[in-house]
Amino acid sequence: MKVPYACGSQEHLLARRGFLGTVAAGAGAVVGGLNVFSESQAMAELASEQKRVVVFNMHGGLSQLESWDPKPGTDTGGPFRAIPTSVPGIHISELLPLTAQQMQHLCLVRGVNTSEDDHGKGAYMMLHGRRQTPASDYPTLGAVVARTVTPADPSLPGHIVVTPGGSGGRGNDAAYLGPRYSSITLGNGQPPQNTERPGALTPESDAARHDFRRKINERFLNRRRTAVADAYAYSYEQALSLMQKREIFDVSKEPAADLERYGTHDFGRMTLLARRLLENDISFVQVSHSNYDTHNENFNFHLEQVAEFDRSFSAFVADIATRGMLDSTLIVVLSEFGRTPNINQYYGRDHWSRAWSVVMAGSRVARGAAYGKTNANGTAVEDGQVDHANLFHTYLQAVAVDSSNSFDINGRELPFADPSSHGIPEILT
Amino acid sequence: MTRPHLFVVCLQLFAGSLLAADPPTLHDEIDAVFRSQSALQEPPLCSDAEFLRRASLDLNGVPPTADEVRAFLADESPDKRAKMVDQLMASPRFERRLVEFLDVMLMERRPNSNVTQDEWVAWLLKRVQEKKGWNELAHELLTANGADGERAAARFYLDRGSDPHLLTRDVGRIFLGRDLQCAQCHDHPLISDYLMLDYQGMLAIFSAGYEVKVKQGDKEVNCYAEHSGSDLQFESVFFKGTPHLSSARLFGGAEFQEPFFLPGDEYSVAPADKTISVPKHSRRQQLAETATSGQIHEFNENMANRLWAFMMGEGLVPAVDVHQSENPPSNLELLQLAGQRFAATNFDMRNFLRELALTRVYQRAWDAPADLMPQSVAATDLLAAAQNETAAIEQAATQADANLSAALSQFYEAEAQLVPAVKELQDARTKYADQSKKVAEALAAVQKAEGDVSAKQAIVTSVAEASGKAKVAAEKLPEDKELAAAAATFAQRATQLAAELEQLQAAVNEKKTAHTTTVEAQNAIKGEVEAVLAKVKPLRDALQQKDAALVTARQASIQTNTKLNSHQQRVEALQQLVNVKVIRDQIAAQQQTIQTERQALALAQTNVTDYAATVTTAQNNQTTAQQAMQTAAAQLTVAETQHAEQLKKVQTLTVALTSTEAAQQQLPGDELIGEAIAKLKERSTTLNETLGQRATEVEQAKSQVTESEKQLAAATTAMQQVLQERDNRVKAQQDAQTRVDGAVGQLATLESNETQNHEALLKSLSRRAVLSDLQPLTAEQMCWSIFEVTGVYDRYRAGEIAELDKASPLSEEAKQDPNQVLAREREIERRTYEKLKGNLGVFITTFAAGAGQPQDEFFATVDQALFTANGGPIQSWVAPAAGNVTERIVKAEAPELAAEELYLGVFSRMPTPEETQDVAAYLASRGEQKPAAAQELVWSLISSAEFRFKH
Repeated sequence: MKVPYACGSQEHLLARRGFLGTVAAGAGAVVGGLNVFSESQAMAELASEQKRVVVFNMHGGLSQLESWDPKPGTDTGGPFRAIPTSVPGIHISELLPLTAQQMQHLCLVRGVNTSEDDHGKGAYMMLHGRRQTPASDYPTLGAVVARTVTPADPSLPGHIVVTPGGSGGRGNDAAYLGPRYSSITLGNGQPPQNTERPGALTPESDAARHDFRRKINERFLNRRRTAVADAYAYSYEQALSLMQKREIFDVSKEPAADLERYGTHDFGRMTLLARRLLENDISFVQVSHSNYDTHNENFNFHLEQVAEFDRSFSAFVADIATRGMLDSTLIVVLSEFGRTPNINQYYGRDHWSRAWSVVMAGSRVARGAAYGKTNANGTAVEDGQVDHANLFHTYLQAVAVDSSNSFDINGRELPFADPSSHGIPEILT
Repeated sequence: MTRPHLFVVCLQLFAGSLLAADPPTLHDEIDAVFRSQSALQEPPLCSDAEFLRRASLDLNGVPPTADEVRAFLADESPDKRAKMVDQLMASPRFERRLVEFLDVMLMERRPNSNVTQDEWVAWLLKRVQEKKGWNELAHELLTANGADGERAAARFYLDRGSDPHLLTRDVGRIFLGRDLQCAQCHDHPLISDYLMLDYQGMLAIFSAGYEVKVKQGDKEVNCYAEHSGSDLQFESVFFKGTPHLSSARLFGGAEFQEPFFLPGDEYSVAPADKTISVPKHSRRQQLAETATSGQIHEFNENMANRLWAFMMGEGLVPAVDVHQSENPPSNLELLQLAGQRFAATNFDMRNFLRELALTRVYQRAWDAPADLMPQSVAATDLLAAAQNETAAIEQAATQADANLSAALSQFYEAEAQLVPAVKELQDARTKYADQSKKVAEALAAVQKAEGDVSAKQAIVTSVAEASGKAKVAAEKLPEDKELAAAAATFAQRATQLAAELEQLQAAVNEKKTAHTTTVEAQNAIKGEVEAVLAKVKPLRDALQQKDAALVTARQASIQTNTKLNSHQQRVEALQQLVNVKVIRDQIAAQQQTIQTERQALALAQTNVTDYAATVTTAQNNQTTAQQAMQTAAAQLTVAETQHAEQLKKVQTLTVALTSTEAAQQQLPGDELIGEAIAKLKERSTTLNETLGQRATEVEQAKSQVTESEKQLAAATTAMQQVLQERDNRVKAQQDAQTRVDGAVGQLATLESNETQNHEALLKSLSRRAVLSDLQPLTAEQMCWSIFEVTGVYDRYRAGEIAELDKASPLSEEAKQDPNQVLAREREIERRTYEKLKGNLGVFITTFAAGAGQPQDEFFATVDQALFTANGGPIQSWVAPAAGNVTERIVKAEAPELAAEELYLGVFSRMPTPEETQDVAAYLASRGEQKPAAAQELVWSLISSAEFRFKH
């Protein structure tokens, strides 16, 4: 039901109604309300080429040892082998045989140290690029991308989260950027709420009532035109436009053969939906894969779970590359943390944030690379150590957003990313 | 407006009104201030219907019903607006509305982790019904600890996780209107009014607070307890290595004076497990008392401004949680007046809202003024005067800033003197605390030894008794050896125990001596502490003096800069007003220019057109010359051909003559030959004559050609000149066209400037309360308003009334008792609210900002439109049902009546004739489907901007 204004809709509005610009000039530095006034300035900060970001959130904490940074034959290595990939010299876990064949597109970041072993806090840091503090909340990566990356189609939402549960409604994750940049959660690949005409109305009567609404609004706006009333009236036109594009969210419109390739499980379906959304110019999509919190039976669990991921993810990467979208799409695979090198008495691995891996691909990210290094049994980072804040800067820079820039929120300068940190220039081209 | 309203009322007029015998009401004072400063003397007021909808939404959270509108429009009493305000405020829905306002302001829709929403709302409602002042309410909130009884009051702290930084920020924002967040690690980089010592001063209050689990009933709950505060040090990230003292202080005020307690003496209830500790000196208590004293203008003005925004749509200070000189009030004098009066009336929120509702300012029209020209003309002088004043204010601001700078350095100098002494004091305190621990240990040792003695004493006594009795028994049974042995054993043991007891007593004495030594040492340290304290005192006194000077300098700086910025905004608004005429004149001049340029263009066009004939003539001449040239050339060709032919004949004859003459020489005297020669010669002569003729003809033809060439050249040159001239004229025409286009473009720019200036001016006028502004309905207002206009609320209310009347009918006597009637009204409202409140959630998630985010920013999102357009609930509420607006439309036979029901029911006003026509047409087009059509119409109005906003 809750679809935030896609990023740029206000800019669209701005173009439509030129007068708004100088309203800001007249109203002084502090302009409450709609934020339309500071948008034109924000526009100047934006990347020129249409970019997209997709994040695979490996919920619960993917084991780096059973995926991107295997340590076979060591005390911490566990039962699985490492296999060669399409990039000579880079080996990953044998649980990712299909992804190994896509390594030429990927960049492994193996020196991640986030020093936070709590699920909630770790997830917050990875998705917000900063530690959570009680007195200030920050927008998520999705909200920042939705706001800073110009959308090709402003009537579509810029920030989508695809997850097995979910309401189809608006999230509360945009902090000071406001509800327009909040996520909409598409539960089980269902389209956003309330995007279907009520059953009792015929298309003609629906059109008639909207016409009548327009006429009423026009009369009201003629009495005195204001930005807020204009924006409100316009949101209905956007809603109608979104209803017409409802099929974008319908994964069943994709060929059955593709679903077969991606896997007919939830994750396969959600990953295929992500491809569909990105192809339709949604700026940011996040897909969750649950649940990697394997304190017990880590190996059996990863055997099953990673295989599911391998199939969908490898197909996704291959498709994005063959469809020519890799240059404009940033792909990220992250978790809240990794898992302990130590294997506990239940054959499990516990929470571990000192030395783990994140994977990136596409846009400006180096291809077929492995950056950073852990020691022989994976208990410490030896080289190329980075944290959540470095990664967050890098995600933005990868899609040509200057991460040292700031939002102007009613005269307050709020940096896109942690101003005391910086990106990882070594992996950006 | 029938005549130009000038705005030449000066401050004296206002001052004069204050001297009148009867103290003026606040609403009159407010209007007087506006009148004294407004650029439009008496701006128009809104219509009755608009006023009713506005007041009803503000005071009861819902628009009026159709019947209420009809009654109000029919009422002819002159004071009906004032009466309506009182009527609306007497309703329990006013109390509900105020509770919703306070809830959202205080908690910003944060999740209920420690106190349920029901408990919290009930607590607020009780306070509102008891007519508590804002000061009392704030005091209660700021000093709450969550103990049994008034647990809900602690929600402000507990549901913020009791985090000191979050509380520093939110107490600053919500109670003082100052968001100090950016001054946490350094003086505020953008807002010069906010200093790091403000943040640290507030933080020092909330750092003393902490959460503790306490048993309440059969469960453990979080409570908010407090430590005894002490000086914490902080450094600016900009100036590392310079420690400052973070004494507790309110924003902009002096540091709190705190009594000194020796360690161990600070608490009336010491911190312990499952205990709410109570320090003898509570910083929160001091905060609450200072803030709510009525002396703190930040506290007074913050709430006055928020209540202003509640009624007027925008605060006098627009961003209500960032009062600072660069976010100045639209009217500084008015903000001060409002703050003072609000405090003076014991922070009575009802009274203050009532006064606001009665102002003319509240009743301003929303529509754009029809003609601003007369005001624009009149504003020119005012603008000049205002601009002249700027320099003086600027100078005062510069001076105030310099004073502040000096005061600040003096303060920091004094602080630097104090810091080492405070450090010493802290060390001495620590030493004392350590020694106190030793004293306690020594005392415990004494107590333990004394315990040992008394335990031993008991044994000694019982053994002595037993020994005595055994001795007696042994004496009575002298034969019994065993008994004798036992008696001896007893005697021996008694002796032994006595010795042991003696030893223990000695130990007690030893411990007592040790204790005495530690106490003496403690006393010595106490002396040290007192010595340091004596050293600290004059330094602290000196700092406090500098602090007082600093407070004065800061308040002066903030106020002067605020005045400056406020003044500059006024100048800007006046400039916009002046610009109305300036731009209009520019447009008129531009239209004149366009006319002139158009005339020039017409002339240039004529020049081009007129010249066409000349071009044609020249073209014809050239053509004629070309033809003559062609004719001459042809003639020359003919002449030359004829000449050549003749020449050939001559040559042929010459050859014949030559050979004939050669023959004559061979045959001299041959007559025939002679004759032939003679004939040939004769012939030759003729032929040569003709040849000469032909040659002459050739020459003639040649000269004819030469002549024609000359003429053609002349004609061509003439043609080129004509073409050049034509091009010049076309160019002139094009230039004229360009000038016309440019002028038209400039006109468009000017017209766009005019639109922009108009919009900016209307915004300024709204900000300066000359016009009213649009105010979006809150999530709660949206929910209750939709329930109201679709009849859902009334249906539920009727049900509750019926149930109550059946279960406990009011006696006739009770019906005469206003208290009982009010209690019944409240009960009906509460029960209806309880039945319907489940629907609030979806409106809050759709129309309200996220939890913990500021709740006063408008946003229009697609999901809102989708919810209204396609969501199930709204579709079902707009369906025809028992007497609701949709059903009334269906039942109305005449379309005029249907339109009236629709517009009165949803927009709370009568439809215009055009609107009535539209409704009639809509219904007519749907024929038999009238119920569906009526439902669609109601939906159209609910989803329109006119419904979404208060105006």
